[in-house]
Amino acid sequence: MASRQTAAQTGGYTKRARAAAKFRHQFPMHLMLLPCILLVAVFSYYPMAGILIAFQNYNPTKGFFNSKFVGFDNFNYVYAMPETMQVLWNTIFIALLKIVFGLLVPVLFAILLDMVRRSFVKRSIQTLIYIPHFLSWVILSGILIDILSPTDGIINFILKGIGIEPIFFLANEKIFPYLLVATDVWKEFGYGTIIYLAAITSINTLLYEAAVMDGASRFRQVLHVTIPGIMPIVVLMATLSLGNVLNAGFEQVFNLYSPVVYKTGDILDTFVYRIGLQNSQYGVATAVGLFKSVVSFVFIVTGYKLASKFAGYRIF
Amino acid sequence: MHHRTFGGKVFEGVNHLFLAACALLCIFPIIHVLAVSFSGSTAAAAGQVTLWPVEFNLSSYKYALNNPQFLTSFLMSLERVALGLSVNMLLTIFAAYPLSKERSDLYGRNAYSWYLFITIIFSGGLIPWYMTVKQLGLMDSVWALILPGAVPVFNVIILLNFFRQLPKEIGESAFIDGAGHWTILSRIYLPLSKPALATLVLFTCVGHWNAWFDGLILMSSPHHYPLQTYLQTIMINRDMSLFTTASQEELKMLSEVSDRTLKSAQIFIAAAPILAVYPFLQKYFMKGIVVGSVKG
Amino acid sequence: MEKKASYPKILATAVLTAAILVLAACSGNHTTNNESDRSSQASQTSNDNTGEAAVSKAEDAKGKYDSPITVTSVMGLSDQVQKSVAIKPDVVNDNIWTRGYEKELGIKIKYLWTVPGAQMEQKMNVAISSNDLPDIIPANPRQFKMLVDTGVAMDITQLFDQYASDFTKKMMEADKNIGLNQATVEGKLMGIPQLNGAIDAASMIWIRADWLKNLGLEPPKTIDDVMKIAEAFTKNDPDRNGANDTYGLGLVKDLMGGFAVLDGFFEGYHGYVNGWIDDGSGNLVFGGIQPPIKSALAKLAEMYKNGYIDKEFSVKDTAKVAESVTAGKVGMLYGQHWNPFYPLQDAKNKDPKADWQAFPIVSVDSVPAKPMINGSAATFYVVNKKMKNPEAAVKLYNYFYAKDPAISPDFDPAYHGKNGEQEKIPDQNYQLATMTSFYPQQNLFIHQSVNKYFNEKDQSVLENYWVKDNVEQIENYKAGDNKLWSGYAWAGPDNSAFNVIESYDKNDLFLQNGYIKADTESTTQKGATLNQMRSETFTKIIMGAAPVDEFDAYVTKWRKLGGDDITKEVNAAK
Repeated sequence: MASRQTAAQTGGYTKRARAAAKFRHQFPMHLMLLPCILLVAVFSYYPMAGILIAFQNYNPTKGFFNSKFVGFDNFNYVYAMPETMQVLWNTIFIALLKIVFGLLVPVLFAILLDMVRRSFVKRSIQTLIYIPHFLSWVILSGILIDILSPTDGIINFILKGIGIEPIFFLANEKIFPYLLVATDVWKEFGYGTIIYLAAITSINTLLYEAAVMDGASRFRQVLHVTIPGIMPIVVLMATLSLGNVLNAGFEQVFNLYSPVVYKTGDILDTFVYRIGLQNSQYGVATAVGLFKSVVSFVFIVTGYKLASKFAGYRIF
Repeated sequence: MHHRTFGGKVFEGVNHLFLAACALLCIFPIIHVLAVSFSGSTAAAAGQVTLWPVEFNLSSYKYALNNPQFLTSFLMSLERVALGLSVNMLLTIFAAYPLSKERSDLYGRNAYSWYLFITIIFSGGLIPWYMTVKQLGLMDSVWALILPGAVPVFNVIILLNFFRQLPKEIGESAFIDGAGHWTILSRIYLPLSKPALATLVLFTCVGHWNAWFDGLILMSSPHHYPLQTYLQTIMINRDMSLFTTASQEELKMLSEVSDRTLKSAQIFIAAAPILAVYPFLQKYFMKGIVVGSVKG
Repeated sequence: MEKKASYPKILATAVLTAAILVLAACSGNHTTNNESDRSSQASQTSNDNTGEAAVSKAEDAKGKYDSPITVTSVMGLSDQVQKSVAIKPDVVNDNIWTRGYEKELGIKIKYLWTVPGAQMEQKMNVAISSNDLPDIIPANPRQFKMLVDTGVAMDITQLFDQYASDFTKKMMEADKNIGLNQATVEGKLMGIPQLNGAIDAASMIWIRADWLKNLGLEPPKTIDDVMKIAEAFTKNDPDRNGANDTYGLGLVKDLMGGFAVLDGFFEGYHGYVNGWIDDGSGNLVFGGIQPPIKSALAKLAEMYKNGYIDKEFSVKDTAKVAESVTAGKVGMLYGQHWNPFYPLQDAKNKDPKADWQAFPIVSVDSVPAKPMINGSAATFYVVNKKMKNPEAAVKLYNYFYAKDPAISPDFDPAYHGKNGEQEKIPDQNYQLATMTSFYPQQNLFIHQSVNKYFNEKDQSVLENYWVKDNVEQIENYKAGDNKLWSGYAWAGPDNSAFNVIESYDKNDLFLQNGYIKADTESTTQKGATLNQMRSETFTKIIMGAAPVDEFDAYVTKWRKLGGDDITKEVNAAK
């Protein structure tokens, strides 16, 4: 603010008046932001003092500032565990697949849904595909174990029908990670579709009319109007979802995995949970949390930069 | 639009079939839950219910709806959603509007957005969060469930992106006509962003309705739990090792608390209101938005 | 014009938002104010808060505080109490126990929070980590260790000795001081144990006796018999439904625990998968890496291969196995005393012919199989160092022992609450007491008395409240109320769970785990890795995905990855 004011002063009366006008113009916007800034300061930034726990041998009776500092011991502790590298790899593998399909499938679905002309059909399908989001993995895992059972599950029944040997999906190391991705996409794609539908609906209808006038077919409209129209939102969602590169889905894995698939199915969060069961100290959990945050940060910021460089679009 | 070629019709048919098939796959689990909730408890306990009730009866619904705790929690959840929705949406709009402006229009715009963005990624974790709420004296009040998440930064970013896509000329010409920010926001931005706002209303409702962990940690008595927190207490996998030392009285409750039909009925009743919200918001996704005229 | 009008509007909205925030903060403060109001009221009624400590010293050690004191605690609510709270929201703060404490002891109880029992651990972990703790802290073994390590727990060695009532001490003796031993750290008593029966945890075999009968088989005497029964249950259509849809041995993916597990099977091979045993020279060694476990695993792999164990056990948790049991697909499983209540009662409801009976575990050779027992306490009441009148904790503990156990001289059934009447009288229930603890042989005692009633027609046993209650239920079951079968299968006179425990007791078969104290440092650090390795190796061996010799590699790794350190620490701390 100061530099602008000096500039205004040297510029004389009109510039000062312009600055004043500018201030009057901007002031309400700062005011609008004020409550958010304050709330975030209190409920997000103030508690961040707790990040210190990651570098401490935290003792609750001593608090964040008087507990003993141990440098990177908590990080080294996890790093030195024999499973860590495998677990990290599993996490990234599963999470990346989920990011890719969790993005593409809803976008594709939103476009296909938009191409349905009958509003009743469109509405019904929309409502139905969004239901699985509301069932927890505890329920769904019970159902999946039945469906995927090698002895009496429906999937293997079908496989048998076309002459394929039954597969014990949930106990198969090779299949398990893909199963996680597939079931996760199945659970969440309907819910994910909503935002793209909103983006499609927000496209100016006149653009379509203009395209029709130019004689564009339905596919061309999708290609030249719909897709460019939702691109900013797709880029936004893609960039933000990069932050999940270490979130492979605790609830889901926890409810579906078993010792036979630990090798490919154990992820960072379930691993930390099991350590935590033995070791109810918050230092290690906070250290892993901080590690995840830093990685997310790096990924999102990279995505942000790439998007602004290649798509010319800054998401926030 | 008027020409429907043969290929177009085939595509339409295939598209319908494909989408319908996906929809079927998606409703399978909820139908299972419904079927179990209407079944006899022994049939459910034996895993004999798939998609149609066995020994049809309504007793689990009667039980659930007569459970005073269920009702209390239901009301608590409604209160939470109503308050949370108002606070969240108000703050989302207030933050997204200024941040959708260019840097030249709002001094410090980028600093603001990074300031907010950082909080999506970094957090102090469970313990400092708990202590903050405690220090502010919010424990055991509905505000403990609302204020810590009062600024949904993710939603702010989404909305500001939608705002940015509105044609700039409209806002500028309104300014020239002497309109202030409030007028522009309420008369132009908000009406033109109905699909985005409907989406965020939905996200916010769903978020508040489904949240359970904060209720567990920040409420001092189960009597004040929102519905999903209460539901969690009946869904949680019990630590079997505690049964070894449980008294006879506690053990006698086991078959009641493990009753699957009852659980299913409660899951369904708890999900029904939020499932019903979507169809109401759907009209905002059906019609396209018309903005001014399109050049060239 | 419109431009000017817009400022006040924005301002108004901003003010409104600020107002919401202020309101929120106020209503938040409101709660705190209320709390402090309440406590100040409490201190007013107690005349003078500051003189409290001095007064109490002058008081009779075991009697009532002249000016009432306030003690804070927290409570994990049992399922029954949760129902009571729904009926009567303030029941936790106003019930027969709190009134009794205040009237007879001069102690007012204030609960900082309550939580459903299943979530007690999670909530308590947060409270401990935030150092937001009451005077009396109910803690599980891990939390107990943490409270001791962080210096929250008070050394109550002397206090307990001085204030524990004679009956309380009698109970400690009945427990052979196992609970007190668990709560003792480096010679100091750091918490008051909530006693349960250590012997109750012994393994047993549950078998469908109706299937045995259908196939003309006898209950097992050896592991070979178990094998034969498993085979017959799998192959010979024990339920006579003409379909090949049953298997012999139920098993959950966790392999160890209290229902459909392997602990009892390993014990048949004299292997103790989670226990510490004497190696003969006075040193403790870990049972889970000894050769008997390997032999047992080889047998299990054979059973799996032959289809006696569910092919899909590795993904099935308790609920899923319970489903198979209820559906009548499983005929035998290793478990514990509580299995009749869940899920075997469901099986009985589904098929009244399903006659699950309990049998002692059997041995692979001529040496009798010994079930291992652990500690008697799973909860410890830690006294906060900051507590002003720590002796009050012992008084509350005494009070429970005075009023609740039916063998206590001051027993009053109203305090325990009548079975099934909690909905009418929600505030009479032993689970509402601030501190609870039980007569360690309570369940065995009930069973023995029930036996006397049914076998010797001894009516006098009915004078005991517990016994009367159980006898009534068993009579009702015998009169045809199938829903009460669980009580019969639990403590009844014929092949019930406590028949088995009694036979172990008579033959002196219980084997005490050599180490029952809190986890050592290395266990805390390495336990997760070791447990994971164990479940992986055992599951793969049973499923045939790894050869049985994989066990030797597991043992080597176990020792290297921290097992040897744990062994050293356990021997030093035992």
